[in-house]
Amino acid sequence: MKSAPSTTGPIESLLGQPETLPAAAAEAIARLLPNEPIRVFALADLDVRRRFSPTWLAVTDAHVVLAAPKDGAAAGGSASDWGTTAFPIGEIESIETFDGIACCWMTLLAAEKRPLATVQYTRRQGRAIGNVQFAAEQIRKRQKEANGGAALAGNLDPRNDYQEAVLKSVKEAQASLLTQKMGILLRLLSYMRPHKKAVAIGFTMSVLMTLAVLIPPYLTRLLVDNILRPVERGSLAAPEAFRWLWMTIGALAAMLALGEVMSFVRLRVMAIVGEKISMKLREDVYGHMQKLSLAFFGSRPTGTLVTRVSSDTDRLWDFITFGFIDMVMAGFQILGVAVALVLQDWSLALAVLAPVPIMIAMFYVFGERLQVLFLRIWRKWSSMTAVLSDVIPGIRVVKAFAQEDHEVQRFNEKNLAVEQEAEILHREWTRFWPRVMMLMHTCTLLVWVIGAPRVLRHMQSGGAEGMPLGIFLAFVGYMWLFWEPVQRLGMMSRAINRVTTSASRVFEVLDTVPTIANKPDAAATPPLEGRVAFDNVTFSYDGVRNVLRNVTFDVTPGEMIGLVGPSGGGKTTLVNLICRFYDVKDGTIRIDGRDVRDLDIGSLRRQIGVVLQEPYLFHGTVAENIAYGSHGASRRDVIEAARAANAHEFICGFPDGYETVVGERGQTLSGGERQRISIARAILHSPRILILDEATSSVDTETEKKIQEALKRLVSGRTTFAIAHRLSTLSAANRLFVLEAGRLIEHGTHAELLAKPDGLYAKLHKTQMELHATIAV
Amino acid sequence: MEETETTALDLRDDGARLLLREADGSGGTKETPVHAVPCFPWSQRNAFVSLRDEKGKELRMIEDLDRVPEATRQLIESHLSRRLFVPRITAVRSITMDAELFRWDAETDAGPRVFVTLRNEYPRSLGDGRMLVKDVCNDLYLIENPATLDARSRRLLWIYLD
Repeated sequence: MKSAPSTTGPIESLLGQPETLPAAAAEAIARLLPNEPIRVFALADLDVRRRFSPTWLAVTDAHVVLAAPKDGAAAGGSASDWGTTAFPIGEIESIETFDGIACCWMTLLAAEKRPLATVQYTRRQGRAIGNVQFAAEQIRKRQKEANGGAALAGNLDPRNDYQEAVLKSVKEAQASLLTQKMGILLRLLSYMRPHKKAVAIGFTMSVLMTLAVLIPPYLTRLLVDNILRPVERGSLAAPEAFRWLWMTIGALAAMLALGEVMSFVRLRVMAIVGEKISMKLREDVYGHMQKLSLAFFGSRPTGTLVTRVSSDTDRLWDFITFGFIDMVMAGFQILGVAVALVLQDWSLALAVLAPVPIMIAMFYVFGERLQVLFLRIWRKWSSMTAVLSDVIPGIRVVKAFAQEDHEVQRFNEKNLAVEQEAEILHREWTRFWPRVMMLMHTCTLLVWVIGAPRVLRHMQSGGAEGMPLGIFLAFVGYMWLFWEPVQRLGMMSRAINRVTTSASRVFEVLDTVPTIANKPDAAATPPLEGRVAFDNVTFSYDGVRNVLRNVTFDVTPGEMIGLVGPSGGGKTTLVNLICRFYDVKDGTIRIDGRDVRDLDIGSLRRQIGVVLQEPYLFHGTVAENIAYGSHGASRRDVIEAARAANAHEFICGFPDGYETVVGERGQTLSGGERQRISIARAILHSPRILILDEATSSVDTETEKKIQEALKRLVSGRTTFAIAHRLSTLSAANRLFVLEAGRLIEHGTHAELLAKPDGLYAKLHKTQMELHATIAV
Repeated sequence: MEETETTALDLRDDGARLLLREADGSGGTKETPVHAVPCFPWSQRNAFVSLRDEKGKELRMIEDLDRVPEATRQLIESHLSRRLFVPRITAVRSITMDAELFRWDAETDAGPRVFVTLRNEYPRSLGDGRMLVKDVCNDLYLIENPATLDARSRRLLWIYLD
């Protein structure tokens, strides 16, 4: 890769840091260690006083080197401006890294943990620093094995490694959003494409309506100049005049009637199209949402997601039905009337049209301002709905702690914030509107000032000069027809901005790319045997803290694995990875020998069953809940499954039997009942791989026994991963995996693990036995 | 958990870590490397500071750092200030849209800084007027009091202010 210092790359432009190790620093390092090429380098961007200032770290075949600009020297410059310190890798016993809130630091430690050096850096450097740490550790390992002198595998491109490491987060963020070149409104209009015919009808009607509106003032002019005035002057006979009069009135009536019909057709057609489009949008948004990964839902309050599917899409209906066509129509009318005005009298027309550019500028500036205001309101609004969706599911806790008043107050605060924000908005546009009106009224006055004297002159001169009365009247009529759509557009700018805010919320969901997606060539997963293998799996939710580190194991089909260890050890994360709710950061997970990332997600998950600590039941009957995920199960299958789950007895005890409706989240049932229904669900689903996440942790002993029996039936013949805190519940497990701080520290059978006197499992077991003994006493 | 015993706190710094010196139970002393972890890092960094060993086990809890002898207090504070360091934005020069991301060009108390945030990731309000901006690398930036920023910064930030 050729370096081109004149052009700035993405690291420079997006993150404001050098694209690569500065040449002067590289030279300074080369002077210190003449025969050692740099293998890896990274930037530590905080100095000792925690100011942004570069310290470069480089790893050569035998040293870790720090290079920082000398005091007073500007970064860059020449090699002599850089101070360098080298540490022989042989002397570095270990390298430790720590995370603060925003500052991370890495310490090089010699024997007996004597610190050699510490560098501080921000998270964006974390990956590159990790590369440096890894390389140094690798070299050290090889030195020990080969008794010194072994170099790191060649063919390294330090510059490329550094750039990739620094840019990874940025690239991931960019990949998480599809780039949309189209403007929001245009994109919304693209939804009209399937309804071309209806939209065309709506359009035609609107254009015709506009034309129909242009006729009446012209009729006024005919009435005055060709009928009334000639009769007054005596140049037109009465019978002739009446014939003309009735024809004019008839034309007016016909125009009005036509206008009515057209407006009816337009409204009917567009209201229905609008509803269809918002339905399609809701369908798309909800459909896409279901495809998105768990991480997307984890980072957003439920309330804002509900708002996007429901009220945001509804707001778009308004726009499609009325707003869009109205806007186009108003545009047409303005153009049409402008032409009519010029045709009547161009000099007067100028007085009306002159302020239009000013108004357009005003509307534009105001629109920009509104956009910001609506975004602010939207944020307040979703923070208000977030309170609702947070509190209502937890209403039992609220009542139990008698916090109703507190919750009401919390909601009212958010509600008030919405109102205050809206007040700012209303103040803005009510301030804006009178200015537009004033401009309009000034123009009206101007037309009278210029026009009326000319009409008077026309009358005094007997038509020799000036302007006929009819033209003046028609002109005034047209002028109002001109202001009316301008006013409408102005009013609409508020609605349009509101719609663009809503539309952008909706499109934001549609533009989010699922982080877990099928590969394009992913074939449907064949029926699984159930072999699960982890190979050096490392995982992190936030890309910073590793929740699983280098986990490796192999589970044969039908084996039952108990996962034990302190909470936060990574047990749930491990099963989440088997379900492929997330993708590994490093290493691979293989199911039946195939990388899970190559399998079709849907058909993979259909073969995995999950029984959770808090079973989630949906609103519906017991039978529907058992058959969830197994469409087409017969009633006999449902009952068999319930029987195997020890649930049949109590379900038959309900007056409505299997047709008992359980409320949302199954609140009408007891914890043990819910649990057994969810076990029945898993039995009916008949997965090849089963995950039990603390399935028996929240029930009494009697119920636990029943659940244990049910689980035993469920587990047989399936690869099972069971998480449990009570070790006694894992008696059926073939092997136990002990996870601590993300590492698989022990594995083996119950007896094997007990045999390790200082093992974690032996310790946990001992504590629990003691606890049981105390309870027994 | 042990009693709060701030007077008997024997700490030293070996250049990189804090070491807590304690009696080892057999007449001698032992030194354990510890981390100082504040329980309320955002609202009260001087109170309830937990000293934990490398495995995360709490060895001491300092309820009020101001009642600790001066030298020890300074030692702990220097470690806290590293753990709690967050650059404070003192001026926002520009926020521009770049490839669907917002590119911020800001002045902080640690020097100038350019970073990018997600378009749909809004600064988080800490409830007391302070705002926390998170960039795509998970780096944080604090805006202590938006009202004291210059007019241009305030105008750029206004969309986010509460």
